[in-house]
Amino acid sequence: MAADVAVLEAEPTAEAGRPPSSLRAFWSAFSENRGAVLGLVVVVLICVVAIFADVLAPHAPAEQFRDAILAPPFWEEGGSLRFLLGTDGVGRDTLSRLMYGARVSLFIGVVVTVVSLGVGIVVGLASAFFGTVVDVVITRIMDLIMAVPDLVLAILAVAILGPSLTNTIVAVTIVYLPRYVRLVRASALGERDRDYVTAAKVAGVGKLRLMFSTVLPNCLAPLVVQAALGISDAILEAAALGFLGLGAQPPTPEWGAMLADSREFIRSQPWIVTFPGLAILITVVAINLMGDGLRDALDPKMRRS
Amino acid sequence: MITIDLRRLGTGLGLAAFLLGSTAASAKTLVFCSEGSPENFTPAMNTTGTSLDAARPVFDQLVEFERGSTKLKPGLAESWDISPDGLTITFHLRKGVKFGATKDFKPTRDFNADDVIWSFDRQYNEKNPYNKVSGGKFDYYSDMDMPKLVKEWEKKDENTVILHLNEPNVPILANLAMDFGTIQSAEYADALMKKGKPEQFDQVPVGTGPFVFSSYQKDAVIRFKANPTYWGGKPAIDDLIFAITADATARVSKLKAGECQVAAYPRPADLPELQKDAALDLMSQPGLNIGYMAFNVKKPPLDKKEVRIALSMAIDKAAIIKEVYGEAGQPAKNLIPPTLLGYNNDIQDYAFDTAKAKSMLEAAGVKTPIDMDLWYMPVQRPYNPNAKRVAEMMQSDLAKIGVNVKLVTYEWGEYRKRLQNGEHMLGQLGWTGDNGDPDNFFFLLGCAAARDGGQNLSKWCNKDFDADMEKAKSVTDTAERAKLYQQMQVIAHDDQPEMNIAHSVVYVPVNKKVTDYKISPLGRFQFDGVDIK
Amino acid sequence: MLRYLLNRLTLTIPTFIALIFLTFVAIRLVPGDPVEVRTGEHGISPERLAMFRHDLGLDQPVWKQFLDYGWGLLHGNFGASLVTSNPVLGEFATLFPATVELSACAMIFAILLGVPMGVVAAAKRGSWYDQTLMGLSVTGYSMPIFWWGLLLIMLVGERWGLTPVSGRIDLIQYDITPVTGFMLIDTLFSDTPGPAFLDAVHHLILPTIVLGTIPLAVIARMTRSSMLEVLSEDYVRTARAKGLSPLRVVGVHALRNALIPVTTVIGLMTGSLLAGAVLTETIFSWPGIGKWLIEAISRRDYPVLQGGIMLISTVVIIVNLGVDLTYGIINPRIRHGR
Repeated sequence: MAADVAVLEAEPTAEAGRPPSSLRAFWSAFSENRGAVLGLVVVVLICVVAIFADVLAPHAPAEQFRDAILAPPFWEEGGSLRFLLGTDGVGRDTLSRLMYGARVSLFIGVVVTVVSLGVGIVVGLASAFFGTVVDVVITRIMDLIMAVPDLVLAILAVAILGPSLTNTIVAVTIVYLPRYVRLVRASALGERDRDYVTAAKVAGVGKLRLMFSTVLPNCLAPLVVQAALGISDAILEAAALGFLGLGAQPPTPEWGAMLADSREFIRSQPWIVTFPGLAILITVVAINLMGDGLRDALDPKMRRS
Repeated sequence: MITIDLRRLGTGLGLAAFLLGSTAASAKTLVFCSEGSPENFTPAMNTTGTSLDAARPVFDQLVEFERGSTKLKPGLAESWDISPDGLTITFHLRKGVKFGATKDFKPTRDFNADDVIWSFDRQYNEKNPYNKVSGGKFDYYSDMDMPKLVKEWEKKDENTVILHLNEPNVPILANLAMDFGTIQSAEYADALMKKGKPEQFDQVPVGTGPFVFSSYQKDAVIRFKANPTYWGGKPAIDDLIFAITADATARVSKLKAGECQVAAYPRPADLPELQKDAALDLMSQPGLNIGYMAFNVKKPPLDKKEVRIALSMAIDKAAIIKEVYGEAGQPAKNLIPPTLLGYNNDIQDYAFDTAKAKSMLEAAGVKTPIDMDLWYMPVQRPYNPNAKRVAEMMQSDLAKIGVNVKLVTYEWGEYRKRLQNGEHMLGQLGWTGDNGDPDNFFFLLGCAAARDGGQNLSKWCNKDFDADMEKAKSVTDTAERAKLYQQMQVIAHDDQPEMNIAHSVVYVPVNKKVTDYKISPLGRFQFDGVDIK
Repeated sequence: MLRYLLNRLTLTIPTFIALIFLTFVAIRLVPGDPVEVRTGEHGISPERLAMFRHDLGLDQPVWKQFLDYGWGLLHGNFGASLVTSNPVLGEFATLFPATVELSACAMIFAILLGVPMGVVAAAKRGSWYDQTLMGLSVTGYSMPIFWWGLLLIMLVGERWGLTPVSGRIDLIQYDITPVTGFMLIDTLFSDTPGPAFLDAVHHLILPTIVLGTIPLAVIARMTRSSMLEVLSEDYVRTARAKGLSPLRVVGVHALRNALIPVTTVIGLMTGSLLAGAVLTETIFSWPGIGKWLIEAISRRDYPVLQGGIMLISTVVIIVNLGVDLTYGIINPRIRHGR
């Protein structure tokens, strides 16, 4: 939902053909936005935790401490420093699982985004450059995918493929593909008839080269923004699938699945349910803040206002 | 900020409702938080407890289970005679029993033999005009072997029905007390057929039971009213409401908030809290069920009984009971629950002993580490509240003896099918008794069920075990039957085709205002005879 | 305009046909058999399985099944649920109002709160209010609503006892006969319209907040940024320069123009709201379409899945079409765009 709007907001504006700004200019624009910097810091932190989970996590994510099942976090009565955030229903350390879970969630987010971005670029450019028939067919298919509600489509895809981490990624990718395709197509159509493209055409540049090295770089800005925001949407969607029991399978510490697993303890041990939810929320907020900063920095019109 | 608004709004609304005055409910109303929508209201076509519970208030059977037990008592049949050869059973029907009237149907005659004949005819006679209506699935009738056992249903006169059998069968009376033995109105069926709306028959039920159906809204509510002409006397509660609440946590919340008085299937994690609640009575009874893990003996090294025993010893059953079942489970050492005929209490369960399990595994010539697969149900079942968690615990236990198991699950229907085809190595499943007869459990280990696609998930076939089981079916002497069953449990224990995990205890939280609610060992929810203060 | 409308309508026809085809094929790819799913631990014998598959037409070649299905659709027949044997259209009609009611309330909640919040934030750009609001807004649209719902139920419904935790009305007090299916309307026709209506509202509060959180965040942001854009336009500056009161400038001149893009967003979101209701309905045991579809998937209820996805997608397509048309009216440039 949020990202639909993001597409709308990020729709290339009149000056999409501006020369690429230098990295320094970009950074100074980006760092103007305190929220974005904060987001970036948090994202970097989460990435560090995810990458070094092996070192940082106090316990193995699947190890069951039968002597400390449902241990509360350390500040609650009965909690201990051994399990800082307590343990779950089979005695696994929540903190360690959250750390390894960051790896899973970021992995899902990044892979979904990279794949749908990649496929989206190819399909979107094809739609813009290979004539009406191709364009109509692709646009119709994308309309079709978008007509089916997000989550229903994802659930259907998982039902067909079977629940697993890989299939979660496939399902979420299918759901998010149309956004990228539409975005690429729209930007490419905007660029196609500009003078510099016509000039390149006249100069005898091949179609593929025209598509990928002439036009594509000029459509990148909105794509980068959409991709950054797309990561957070993918994480949310995957967590929702996990929550419905259709995501990664045990003992993979996926956040949505952790939430679903601990749902029965919401009355008796509410903290078990709280932490994975918070982890999802913080990660997604951080990525969105960063994405907003990116957009503002890449889109001078927004910056001015 | 939002919370403050809410608080104000919440109390504001409450106050407004108070000031405007609400309809004073002088009638006695009982609300039951049920777990789901029924598929339809014809018990013979359903197999899920949810659907059967929803139809039960409206109906009676010839023979019925006493509320809260598996003992049989007369229902629509006042009495019955069994011929000496055991081949005919004569039912003497109760006279003057009325069908409850609904909005669109006013019965013109009392219940009689035609209704009995019709109710069973629909289930087996393909020429019955209703046989195919509403999907026409009569699973229990065939599951309980009725087509094979029954020769004929004969109407002797208006109030006498004779059941002719092909062979003597001890459990058949108990079978008839099951929900598929429900007697429906033949007159209602004809009336609807004439109107051209036969499918209404299964949506708006008409029966002789303690309550009359009044309305149903999918996924929201089912309403019943007391049947004033009920042959057993008008029920104490006037309105019976099923509030359909799919989420277990929400059911508990509603119960605590007084939005319902009885709730179905609380989660084990919520039991301690419910126990503490002074307004609630947490009732419990050992359920007639078994949760087990089958060893597929067709897949080496599980063909060796030493390996099966070693794996069983490596798993900490006590921890599973404690953490997954909580209060709601007792460890199982036999396939049948302790309350059943012939339960063998002398069996000593294999003790949890990781070291010994490891050495047994080595002695059996198994090289560790070895890979296996362990299957778990994707859904919560009455005999296992969380198969996934059980599997996770087993996985961790088995890793300690060098057995690395991969967890496998499929969509529920697919899951059972694959297990029945023997695709698994270690597979969890369970069973809920239908009628309180031991045979209703033991067939799960019989040779007939060990075929591909059969219900014997261990694919284990032991000639001695099987012979005893066949014999027990036709023996009428209870003590002798019990002995045969005890013997079978010894065989099963020694060979360990499966690891029996637990018999779950059925918990039903009931508001203290409700009196005389009885838990059914068959997992039923029943509201006749219940009162509310 | 009429040509534009016709053009748009024609374009949706192939979408529909493809939709029917794809849902049909996709659903048949789902492993598992609708008959077997329902048999429980008892299982089913191969003969009986074959019989039921025959009765349900599942033993026919897929193309034949598809033609039969298409033929039925042409006659307005969506088939009957394999689980309940009720017509799919009938079940949809019973459950859809609950989803619409919830979505509509969520949308109204989001608009009523979001637009003023966005306007004030824009007017006081850079203030602590603006910053807090934008922070909250990011949090809002990043919210995993399944978790948010659980949390609110736990706190507001349980611990503070301010709202009911699930359901649409107090079943003991009120026996509401569904006429329209919209509880808020049906209660008005009951014997006790006042209290019953209030009770229905009371039951709607929590689910509305949960489902409305993301739209609220998005609308507040959209309103703010679109307001900012309009405020920097020349005519607003002129109005300001002319000495019109700030309130008048912001409230009348700017807001009207700023709301154009906001309207589009609202329209776009209405479609996805209907879908977003899936999680909310699951959490609140709300008897709507979302829960119905999820259950249909786990029960392999082909006709319900097919019909349900078709119907809900149709609604989404129609809503989007409506949005496009409105946008076309508001902003004529669009019509000549593509």
